[in-house]
Amino acid sequence: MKRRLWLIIVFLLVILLQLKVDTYRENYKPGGTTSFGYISREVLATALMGLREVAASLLWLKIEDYFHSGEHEKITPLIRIITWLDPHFIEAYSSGAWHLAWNSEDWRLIPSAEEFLKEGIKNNPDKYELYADMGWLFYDKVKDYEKAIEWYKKAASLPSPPLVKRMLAHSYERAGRIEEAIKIWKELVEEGNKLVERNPNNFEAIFDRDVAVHNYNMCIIRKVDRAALAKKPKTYYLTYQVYRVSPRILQVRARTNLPELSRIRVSLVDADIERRKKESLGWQLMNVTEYRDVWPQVKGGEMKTDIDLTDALKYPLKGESFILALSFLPQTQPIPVQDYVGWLGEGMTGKDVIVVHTSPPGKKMEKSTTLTLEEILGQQTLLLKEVK
Amino acid sequence: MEAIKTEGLTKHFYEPLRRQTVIAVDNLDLVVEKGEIFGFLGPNGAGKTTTIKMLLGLIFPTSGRAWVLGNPIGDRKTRQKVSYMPENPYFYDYMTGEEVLYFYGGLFGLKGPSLKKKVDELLELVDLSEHRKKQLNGYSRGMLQRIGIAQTLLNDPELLILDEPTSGLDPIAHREIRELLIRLKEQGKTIFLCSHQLSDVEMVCDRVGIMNKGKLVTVGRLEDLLKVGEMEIAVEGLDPSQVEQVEKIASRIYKKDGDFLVYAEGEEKAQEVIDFVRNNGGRIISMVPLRRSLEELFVEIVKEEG
Amino acid sequence: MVIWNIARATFKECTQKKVMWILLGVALLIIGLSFIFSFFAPSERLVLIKSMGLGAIYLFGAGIALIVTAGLIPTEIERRTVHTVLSKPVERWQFVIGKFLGIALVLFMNLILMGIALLIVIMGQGSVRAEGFVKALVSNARILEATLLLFFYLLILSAFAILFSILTTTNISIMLSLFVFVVGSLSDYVESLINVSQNPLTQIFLKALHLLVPNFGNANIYNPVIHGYIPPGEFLYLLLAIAYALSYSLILTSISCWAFAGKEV
Ligand SMILES: Nc1ncnc2c1ncn2[C@@H]1O[C@H](COP(=O)(O)OP(=O)(O)O)[C@@H](O)[C@H]1O
Ligand SMILES: [Mg+2]
Repeated sequence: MKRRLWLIIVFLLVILLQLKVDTYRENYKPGGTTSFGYISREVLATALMGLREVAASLLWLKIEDYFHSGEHEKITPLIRIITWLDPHFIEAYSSGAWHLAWNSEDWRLIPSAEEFLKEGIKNNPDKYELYADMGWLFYDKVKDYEKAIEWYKKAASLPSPPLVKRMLAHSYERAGRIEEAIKIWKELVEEGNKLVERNPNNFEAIFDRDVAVHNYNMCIIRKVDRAALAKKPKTYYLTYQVYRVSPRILQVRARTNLPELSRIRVSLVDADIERRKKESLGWQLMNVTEYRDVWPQVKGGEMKTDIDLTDALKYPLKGESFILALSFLPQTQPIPVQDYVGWLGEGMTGKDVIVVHTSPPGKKMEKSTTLTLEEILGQQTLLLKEVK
Repeated sequence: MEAIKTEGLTKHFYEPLRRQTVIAVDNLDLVVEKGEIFGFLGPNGAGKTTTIKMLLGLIFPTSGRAWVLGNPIGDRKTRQKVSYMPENPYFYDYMTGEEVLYFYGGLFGLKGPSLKKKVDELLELVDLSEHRKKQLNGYSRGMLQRIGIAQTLLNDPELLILDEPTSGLDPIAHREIRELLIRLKEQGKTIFLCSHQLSDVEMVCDRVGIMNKGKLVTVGRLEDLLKVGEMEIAVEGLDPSQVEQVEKIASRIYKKDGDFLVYAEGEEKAQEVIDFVRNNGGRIISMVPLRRSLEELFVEIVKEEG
Repeated sequence: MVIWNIARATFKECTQKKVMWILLGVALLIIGLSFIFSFFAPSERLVLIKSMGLGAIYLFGAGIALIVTAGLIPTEIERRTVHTVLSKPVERWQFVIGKFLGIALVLFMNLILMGIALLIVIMGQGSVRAEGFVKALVSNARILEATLLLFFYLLILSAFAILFSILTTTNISIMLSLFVFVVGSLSDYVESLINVSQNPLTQIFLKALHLLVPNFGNANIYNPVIHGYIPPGEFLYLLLAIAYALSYSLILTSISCWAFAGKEV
């Protein structure tokens, strides 16, 4: 009887301790949930028996194989498993997001890349790397500079190399928040000077400092130059025609007086893309069509580009109608172009120019038209739309 | 207070494979007095070892009770004053001779210089001083037996329980152990000696108990047990007619060159024979009470029991 | 005193066993084989070395605990050495506790040796020493922290092996304990399955399993250790986890003592 009582008491203690232990266990467990679709049984066993990080590293090697053999569709799930096994494997999040956002060349996956990085950040809140990756995603891919600023700011607040702060400054420049950019370049110049003073042979510091000095100077110059643009803005126009070359292949021919090498964004998406995206849970985007091309350039007052929708996996064309849009975003333009139109389109005017926001004043050009499914899928070559 | 006392001590073993119960010890009533050497005899499988294991608390009686040095069995403090040498002892073979004695000494609560002195003494006693630093897996059978003896003396025990202490030993070692047992008895120790080597028991034991098939068949002083009650009387100077008359009294007669060996059953008959011889001018040359050897007794008992 | 004597003898006995040294040797070999990762980038290589090393310590530590422990008491009974011990003024429970403490010493020695070996291998990496020897040593000493925590969980495993070996035989004990170890090692996964499962009955079953089975997974703090960061509340976690392991071992050892007290030897 005494024995039983003793056992019960100690066992209750054990249960209480385990319940308490469980509250801390989150810190040590694998991250999130995953499916084991692509994981071999041996690797799984390795993982389960306390060799989680080994398993993650082994799988990481496999990614390399898939990458070279072009089996891209296997990479993302595998990376999910890796980060599940080892939630502090920063490089895996980094590469995984890169793969989703850039390598797959599928715009539908960008929110996923963002989610993925967010998960990595949640698991590694004290490391700058993934914040910086997030910044780069918005800076380079999405070209949403306000968001890039947000993330680079967070990255820069953690111990990080000078590059992160430089990217923050560049993001401010792109966003047209020039005073803030100048402030950061100035800080970087001062920090660099201090480092160089301490060790005149620190070539890395000298390089970093010189970059900051150059950018600081350029910002000051452009600030003055571009302020002048707003005083006598130029009238710009953009018109285009849409042709069907063959089923699923369209051609856009635009005419414009935008500066040489201006980049025109071309996009073709489901008319109800937002609803469709919401309805596609997680990774399944089977019903969403999202074609975007940020590269077409203006050459000799013309821009001509093909919209190739023949990849039916990427462009399922499940809807009835689609919106084709051409846009000119001043922030995303190469610097020589910005020298004509300003950071945010201050030097632009005309009936084709839309005011996006007033403080700071932002403008853009955007012209869209609707195409039906039959128009895209039809057989003969013909002019579909003319947008004036 | 007796050194060992058992009342109706019984042990059954259930053998699940053969689905039967073995009665190893059956209703054993035994008393071993203090200061005696008690020989516990019996053929293999008689239940000797089982009895000893119950006395030491290694296994538990199915029924019955027992006391060792006045305390019920299983009492830890009693074992401080008892020592035990198992049959075919096997010690920790990774230890050296002295380590094993230090280890057992520690279990008796000995330590420090007194333990060291004791160990040195005992190694000397059993003649293993030279081999004290050698691991037991390099010891011969006899050396192991000697270490086994040495470890029984560590605690200066009141009661020694020895299970087949001489099995596997050469004759010289036999004698040495016998002498050791007698010395220990002189020191007032009680020895419970379990053996089927009758010669050992015959020479040193005060009393013996004989077990067979779990039952105690006889117990008593050795002399008493071995007495058969027959007297061998050598007679001469009787003529053949007188001899015929003697034959009526005696159980049997051997004739040899005019001498006679007369065997008489019991004291009365022997007295009758003696009186007759004297009254008829015969002479008595010798008179010897006949004894069985232990061996004979043993075989007799085992045969009787079947 | 008596207990300590038996513990020391047990330690000696175990360290005379070839199988223990072979297991330890293989573990050290795996730990030392880090150069096979030379085709990885330095930071990655370090993660692998630590991970492989800690994993090897986990598995081989458990192997040593199982193989060395499960045979101890049955061997004593089989060779009847137990008779010479228990016929002395030694209580049965003292014998069991002594054996357990002896095993604890053996495990401690093995784990410390493996932990230090891993630490040496890690310190041998150029990329580690670059941050300064003392700083690197301090930050990587958490290898020993993880190893020490594992020590307490291997005590549970040994306690199981002792209990099962008293109730059954060496081989059955090894198998049963191994089973408990595997199930217990999956505690993190069991815990996650509770959240995944929809069926309340399954949930209750999993939760009960999680609370009843010894959670060897609690010893797995490898991820933060490998990546060199300290999660919030780690100190408290360690205390709780150790208290858990000790309490669990206490239960098992109590049962072992009672079982052994009633065992005919
Ligand atoms: N553990 C056991 N299980 C089953 N039977 C046993 C056990 N120990 C002894 N026996 C049986 O009990 C009987 C007595 O054995 P034992 O006491 O060893 O005899 P002895 O020592 O007189 O030779 C034998 O028949 C033996 O087979
Ligand atoms: Mg016997």
